[in-house]
Amino acid sequence: MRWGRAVLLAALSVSQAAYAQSAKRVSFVACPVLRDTHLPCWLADWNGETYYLGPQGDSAASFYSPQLKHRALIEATVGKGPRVCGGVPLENLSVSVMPEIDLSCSTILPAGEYESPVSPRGPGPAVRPHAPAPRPPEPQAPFVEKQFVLGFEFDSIFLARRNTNRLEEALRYARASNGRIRIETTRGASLLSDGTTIVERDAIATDRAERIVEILVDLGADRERIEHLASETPMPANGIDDPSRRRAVITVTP
Amino acid sequence: MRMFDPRGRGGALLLLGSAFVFSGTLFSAGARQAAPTPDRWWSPGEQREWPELLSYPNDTSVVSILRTSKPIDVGTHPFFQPLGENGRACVTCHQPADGMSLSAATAQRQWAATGGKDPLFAMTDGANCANLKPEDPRSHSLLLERGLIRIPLPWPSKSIKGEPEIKIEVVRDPTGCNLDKTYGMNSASPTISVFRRPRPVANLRYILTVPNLFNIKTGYPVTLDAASGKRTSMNLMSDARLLTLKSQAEDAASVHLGATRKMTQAQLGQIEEFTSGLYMAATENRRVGRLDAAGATAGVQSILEGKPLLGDFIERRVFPYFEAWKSPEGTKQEKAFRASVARGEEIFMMRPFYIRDVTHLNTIIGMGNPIKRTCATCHNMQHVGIDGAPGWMDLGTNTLPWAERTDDLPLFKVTCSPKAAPHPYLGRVIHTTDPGRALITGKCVDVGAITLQQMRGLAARAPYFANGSARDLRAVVDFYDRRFEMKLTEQEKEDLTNFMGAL
Ligand code: HEC
Ligand code: HEC
Repeated sequence: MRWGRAVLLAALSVSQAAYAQSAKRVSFVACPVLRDTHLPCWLADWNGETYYLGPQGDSAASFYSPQLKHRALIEATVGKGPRVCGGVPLENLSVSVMPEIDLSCSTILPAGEYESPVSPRGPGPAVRPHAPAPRPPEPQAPFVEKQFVLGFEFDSIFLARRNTNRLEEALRYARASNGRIRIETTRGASLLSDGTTIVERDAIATDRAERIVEILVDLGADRERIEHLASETPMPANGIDDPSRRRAVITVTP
Repeated sequence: MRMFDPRGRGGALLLLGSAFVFSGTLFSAGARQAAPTPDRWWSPGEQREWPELLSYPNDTSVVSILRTSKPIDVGTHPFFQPLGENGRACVTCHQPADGMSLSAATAQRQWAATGGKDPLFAMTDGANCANLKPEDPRSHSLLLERGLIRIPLPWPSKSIKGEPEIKIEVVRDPTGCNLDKTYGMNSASPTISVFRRPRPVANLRYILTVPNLFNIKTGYPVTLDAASGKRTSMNLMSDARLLTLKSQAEDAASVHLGATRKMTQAQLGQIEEFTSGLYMAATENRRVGRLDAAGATAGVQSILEGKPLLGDFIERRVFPYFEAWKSPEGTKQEKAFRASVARGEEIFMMRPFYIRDVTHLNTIIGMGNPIKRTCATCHNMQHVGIDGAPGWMDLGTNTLPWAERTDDLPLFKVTCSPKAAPHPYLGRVIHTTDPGRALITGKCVDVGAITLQQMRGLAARAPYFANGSARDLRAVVDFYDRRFEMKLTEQEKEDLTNFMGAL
């Protein structure tokens, strides 16, 4: 696919340059571990080190908490700050919950001397509702070709809230500009720190595309004006920005 | 203001059985017996009055229903008419004395009063199976003991897109209905029977609220109602199989009432207008009288005036009524009870425990498994305590290993296709007494998921949970204590029970 390669190359050149200078990337599949601090925190062990993933969150959190009973794919940059909850902090973190059950993922560590991580809310209700997000302005002419990118967890076609928000945005733009919609989806792969590469399941790019079409049509888009291209050839994995290559790019052409 | 005054409204308050004396509102049964009081039980087709405020005592409290729609003529209104052949009306299973649901105690009382001849016990779904011996209490044991109605659902459901991800087998069939040649899974029209409690028909403005375009549990938009062109709350029924009051009423008329003719648009409109104008809550407690007194603000008025907002906030609580009872007034006894209710509310809102292995709660992206939170995390909509998200979840009431060990409900073995992702916590083989939402979607992830009921008028409508497995409110608390290892103290259990009884 012509489009795929172009985006890919652009992504590689930027990110590789940026990461090569400073950051150490880690990618591994492991059981998540919960530490029972007043507000719990999530950790994962790999290769003799404990990493801190994030605090217990909610559906609006930027960090998506993992699941006991499931292993998780952790892809991140090793952070520089002090340890949190006993773990080395991670940045640019992507957590993917592996769909199959693994009952050995069951560890809850006692709080010990650790304190709750810093978080907007504790283990109960938040203090008050967020002020509702202002309604985005109606898209205005002049209309140009515009892209909306949705990211996915490894082996998942689920559209989390940030994706559904972006999808709505794309649809609003298509409506306002009377545009056509093209959806291009990928099947990702991830180069793990131990040198192995894991590839997403068969047909996942097609499933991603079909789900998005289904939702757009449900929301009132004209199926005749949507085309989709699913690339089932696994994206090359580099251990650097693999998460950003499990995606759907929605292009609206006025 | 419309407030409940038992002395002020003749005929509205009925006293039956034990004669309570509610401190604070003191009224005596004797004084009322001069005029013949209509029965607690509302029979279809009766000519009687439905006042603006209708109140009935139960063992611990008074539950009231405020009607905000225009006055109705019960003698002709379709909610009260036997529209079909079996003599039932909507009111048969949605009784005002039972918080617009039906308690098991009322079913027993009605059995005793009619020798099992009341239309409530119609064999179609008021019995363990339609082919059993009529007028034999054993044929109706689930209704009499647990207040359960048989819900026959075609399997696979027409609503499933493509092939279902799940295969369902019957492991135990105590009612005989699931393996029956005429009514069962292998009949000419394959049907699965599950057994569920009637859900209260009141406070529906909340139940029907659509907070978001997207269902964060599925990542799909909530379903559009083709007739009205509007999105739906997907919070009706245990499995959200019906989306609007009209489609619900049409279904109920044919399934429960045995109606062979379709209801007219006018009748559907009347039912919708009447039911969506009903507000229901506990208004008095036996020990302290009114629940909107001494600084508290519970009762029907708060629901009428309230908005269906998310209440999972310290500054905007789900049931924001009992703050003043944290330092209560009254006699020693009243103080003790009020303080207990206020503590119960505090536990409900604020006491964290690990919620674990609940699909459609722990699996919501961002939440994680387990998550240390409170009752209000799931029961999060102000004034009613449903989950607006929408609310179906696999809490474990009906699914092993957490479900009550019982022999009287059917048990199904659900096997998920290896091609589908497994159920996130139970894998690909699941044993359940009610597959719940999965009967409608055919999805493995939905096995066992049941939509939260509202939490108002609880005292009038035991037993609890869709399968009636919690005999009383204390049993509800005990379930949660066991399910989530809450380690509640005796005092905390009592407080939660008192609090829920005051809703
Ligand atoms: C035989 C008993 C019975 C009769 C008669 C009956 N219902 Fe129900 N109703 C139920 C049961 C049981 C449920 C819950 C079903 C489930 O969860 O799957 C229910 C649920 C409902 C609900 C959903 C409430 C909620 O919050 O989910 C509404 C609304 C309702 N009934 C309205 C009606 C109307 C209107 C009629 C008359 C046309 C009627 N019912 C007749 C037993 C009955
Ligand atoms: C993980 C989400 C969750 C949490 C946490 C939760 N509930 Fe529930 N609750 C549910 C679901 C789902 C149902 C419906 C289950 C069923 O009917 O089988 C329910 C039903 C109920 C009912 C029954 C209502 C009726 O009409 O039958 C009561 C009462 C209740 N919950 C009280 C509580 C209390 C008290 C707590 C805290 C100790 C609590 N819940 C915590 C999900 C939750």
